[in-house]
Formats: sequence, C-alpha cells, structure tokens
Amino acid sequence: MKIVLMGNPNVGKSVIFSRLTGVNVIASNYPGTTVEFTRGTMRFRGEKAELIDLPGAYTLEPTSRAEEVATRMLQEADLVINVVDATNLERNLNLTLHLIERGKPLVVALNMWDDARHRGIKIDNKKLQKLLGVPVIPTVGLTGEGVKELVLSLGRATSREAISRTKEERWSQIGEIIRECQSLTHRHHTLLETVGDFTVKPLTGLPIALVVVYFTFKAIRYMGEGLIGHLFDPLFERFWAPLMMNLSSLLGSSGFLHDVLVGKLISGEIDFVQSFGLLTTGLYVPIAMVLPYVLSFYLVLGILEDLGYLPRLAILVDSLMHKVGLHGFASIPMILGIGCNVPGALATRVLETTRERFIAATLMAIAVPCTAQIAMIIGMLGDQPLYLTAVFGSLFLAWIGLGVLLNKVLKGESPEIFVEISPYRIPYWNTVVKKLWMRVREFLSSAIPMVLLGVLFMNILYSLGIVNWIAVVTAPVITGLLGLPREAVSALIIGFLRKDVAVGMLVPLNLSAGQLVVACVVLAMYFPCVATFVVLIRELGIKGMFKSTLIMLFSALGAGTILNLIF
Amino acid sequence: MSDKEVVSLLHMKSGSRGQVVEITGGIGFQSHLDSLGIRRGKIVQKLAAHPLRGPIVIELDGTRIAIGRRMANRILLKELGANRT
Repeated sequence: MKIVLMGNPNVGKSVIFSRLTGVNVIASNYPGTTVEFTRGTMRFRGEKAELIDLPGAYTLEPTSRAEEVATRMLQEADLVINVVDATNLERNLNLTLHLIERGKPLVVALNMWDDARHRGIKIDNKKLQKLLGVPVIPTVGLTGEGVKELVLSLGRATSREAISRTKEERWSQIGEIIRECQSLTHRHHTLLETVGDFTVKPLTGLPIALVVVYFTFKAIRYMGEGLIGHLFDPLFERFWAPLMMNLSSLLGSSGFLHDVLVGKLISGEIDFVQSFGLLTTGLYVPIAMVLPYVLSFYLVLGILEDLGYLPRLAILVDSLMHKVGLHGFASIPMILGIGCNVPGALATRVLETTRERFIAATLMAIAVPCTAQIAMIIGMLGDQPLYLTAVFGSLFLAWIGLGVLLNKVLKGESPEIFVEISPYRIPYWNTVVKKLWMRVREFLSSAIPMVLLGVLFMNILYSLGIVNWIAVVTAPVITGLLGLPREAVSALIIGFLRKDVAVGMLVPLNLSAGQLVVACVVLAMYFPCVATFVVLIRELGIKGMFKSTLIMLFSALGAGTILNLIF
Repeated sequence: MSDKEVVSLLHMKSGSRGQVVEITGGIGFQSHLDSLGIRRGKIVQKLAAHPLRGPIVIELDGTRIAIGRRMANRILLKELGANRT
C-alpha cells in the first residue's frame, strides 16, 4: 500500500508527514523546501502502509525537477492525501480537481484551518466534502489537530472513474465551489502583513535586509565564538588533553599507532589542530571548531526560514541574480549552501531550466564555502579582519565574475522569478529546535566519520611517503603559480574529503597572512568535497559535472595566481 | 472598454488595483500564471516594483506574489484605482 502526500508548495505537507509517520523531515516556511520524496510508514487498517512526502506542485504538468518528482511518484500511488491550504482554497482546488479527475482514492486535508479562521475565512467543510465527493478533513499540522480524523478518513476513500475536464470547466467548477462553501468576513491587514509589506517594497525592504543580514552574521559569529571560547575549547583543553597525554605516554610517545591515534607531539604537548591524530585533531576540528558555528548558523537560518523571510530576500536580490543568469529564488540554494553544499546542491532543483541549475550549482560549489570551512577560515584569520575580508571578497568577486561569464557563454535565456511569497509566521520554538537538532545530527553523522577517514588517510599517505612524492610533482603549480610551500598540496588532497580539515592542515605550514588568503580561496574553489561531488553528479549528470569541474579547477588556479600576485 | 483603460501590470502604478482582462502569450505561459491563480477576471493589487529591472510584487486573493518584468508586461489589466487600505 502506497500513500502519497500531494499539494501546492508550502501548504504544510512535510509537517503532516511528520505527524503521520513520526519521521522528521525538514519543513520551512517557503515554497520548495522539499525537493525529494521522503518515505515513512504508518498504520492503516491494521497494516503497515508506506507514506511518501512529495515536493509541492501547482498542477500535474511539471515546470521544475522537483515537480517532476511529484507527478512521477503520483502514478505509483494507491491512495492520495491532498494537503490543501485553507487560507488559499481557490488556488489549491485546481490541483485537487486535477487529482479527482485521475480517479485515484483521495482524501483532502484542509490544512492551516486555524489560520483560515483567524483571517476571517469561513469554509463549510461538510459542504465542500459533498461537492468534491471525497472526504475533507480540517487539520492543523503544527498542533496535530485533525490528524487522527485524517487517518480514519483514509478508509472512506474509494477509487472513482477517471474523468476529463477542460481548464474552463475546472475553473467554473472551482468558482461554484468557492461561492457555495466559503465566506469571507472583512478584516484589516494584520500587523505581520503590514510589516511584511515593508520588507517587499524596495525603499524599506533593502535597508531592512541589510540590517537583517548584518545581525545574522553578527549573531552567528557571536554565538559561534562564545560556544568555542566558553564551552568546547575548555572542555577539550581541560578534560580531553590530559586523557590524551596519558594515552600518548602509554603508547610510548611515538610510533605509527601513536601517530595515528594521538598524532605528533608539538614540543612535548598535544596541539589539537596540528598533532593530526584521530582522537585529537580528528575530534577537535569537527566538534570544537566547526560544530559551534554549525549550531549557530542553523539556529539563525531555521528562525529566518520559519518566519518566512527568505522569499523576501530572494526578491531583493533578483536583479543581482539576473546578472549571473539566475533569478532571485536561486539565492535560496546559495544560502542553504552556506550551511552545507549538499542540501544547497539539492535545492537547485526548484529552478526551472537545466541551464539555471548548472550555473547555480557550479557557482555554489566554487564560491560558496560551507559553514565548516568558514568556521576554520575564521579560526585562522579571525584576528586579521583585512585578510578575512580578502578571502570572502575574492570569493564574492569570483562568484560574480564567473556568473556573468557563464551567463554570456551558455546558450539560452534565464526564466524570470515567479513565486509566491509565503506569509510571515511566528516560528514555533519546538519546531525550530527540532529542525536544528536534525541538521546538527546530520552534520555529526556525516562529518565526523569523514574527518576521521581523512585524518587516517593522510597519516597513511605520509608514512608511505606518497605525499612527498605528490608535493614534488605538483610543486610548479603550488609554489610557482600560487606561491605556497609545496607541502600545501596535502591540504588540497584532503580537501577532497573534508574542507575543514584541509584548512586546518595549513596551520603547521606557518604561512603568511597573504599566503593563507591564497590557500583558503583556492581550497574553497578548486573542487567540492566528496559528499557534494556525489550529489552534483546526480544533479548535473556526468557530462555537466565534468564541465563544472573544469571550470572549478581553472577558476581556482586563476584566482590563486592573481591573489598570489597581489599579496 | 477603450484602450486607455487597459494597462499592463508592468506599467500600472504601484498601489493601484486592476482586473486582469488579457494575458498575452501561449497556452504554456497562461497555465504557468494560472498555477499561482493569475487569470482573466482576477483582481490584483500592485504593491511594488523593484528597481534595476527587479520584480513586481502583487497581492492576489490575500497572497503576495513576485513576478518578473517581462511576464508582468504581458498581463493586461483594467485599472480600478487605489485600494481602500
């Protein structure tokens, strides 16, 4: 038994999915959060049934890859739960009628029922049920109201004969349904709506956006540094370091096993960044240097997402994005990419054309460093604001320059923005915290094994002398073009696995601030980490990824060479 | 109705309301607009036009929608004057 959740974007399908299956999926307040399907199981008629959460779709004629996923999965479904936004019934019914025409067993969840009431929208759900001929259940996903009734109603869904209707017939029927079932009481704009309109008008919206972005970064840095300085660093230095010193002497202070586990001692002490053992650097980098920033970034992002601010930001940057062949909504994959490039790459699916997806994914992989990398760069250059600015300024220039170039060179036009701006909602604390926890867990479970693998791999390469050999071979590029010591190639090698560890590997090289700028920019640009690489192959195809990779390598070399000349 | 009363969404004044009388373009374009509820007979209010060829923001049935300029130019409206709010 296969049950699918279908509905317009941003109507709360993922929240209902979590309620029905207990499987948590990331839900946010903007259209296009779900770009892939998620499977879960629920009990239905005493049996296990598979429930699938699908990306939102306005119609059954797909206009993006995310919508294609939805329409394809619909065909395999035995039963459909159509989630409908009660505050926007008319538009939502279009998809409902399409689904009814297919004849599959169908239940309508009239979601955001409470919101509709607050807005003075009265819907006679009994009458709606009668007119549609399928069960209609009012629900409030966020509180769980009506979810039990929704499950019970599934038994009442039966298959009907498929029918076909023209667009005109459909709209006239929708008009009739709305007249019969919905009544509006006049109301004034809510405070949130009034504030909301300030943020979409250019004169007020731009200054507000600048303030929001400024405080976002301030808050992330403040929390990140606070967590490191007051919590994680002391924990490692006070509790973990003595333990590791004991282990070190137990293992005889040297030897292969000692170096793999504890790492090299630096003037008789453990240096958590430089020692490079599995239990020292391998844990310290992801937990004490990166995790604090991951926590603070995702906390702030989660609040902005649930508030509904991201689509407004997308509108404000629309004209900038057009310069690089994208439109404003492509800023969302970029913003998600700052957290981690993997979800960023997936989010490019909301874009309409292959060309846009190629440009967006390539630009993100090259010029949008993830939080893990940013945390390390701040760790290295945080006390030298000028050089720190040089790193991010260079990446931004690379983003713009490459984008303009790709937009010129690649054939085709970029579509314009056409998107619903989700209404502001006050974020629920428990959903914000839950989402934060999901993302942090995802980071911990994917980052720590990768970091450990990278550290182990590097130790093996070193002890076999392979790193030295590569360093000699690549010296003309690394030293000649980039002006870095040839040992810096080790950072580029490990950068394939994890960029954060790679940045950390620059520490023992004693680079000048200028060299650090070159190395950090090159590390960010030359290639995505393996996790992103795998996703990009899937999203762009082998050929697209090959092209993208060439662009990455050449632009990294170019940027590195230019920066080497400047610093 | 005379031509004078008809104005494209792009050229209508911000703050004004208008009723959609025509959408110029193929069926694909029409159903694309249709997906967000923009079709003949609908009343929309233009909230803002972003500078530097940025998008137009409208309100329709209580939702706000951002729409590119080329697209807005192809939506023709009969102007109804400013909204009471």
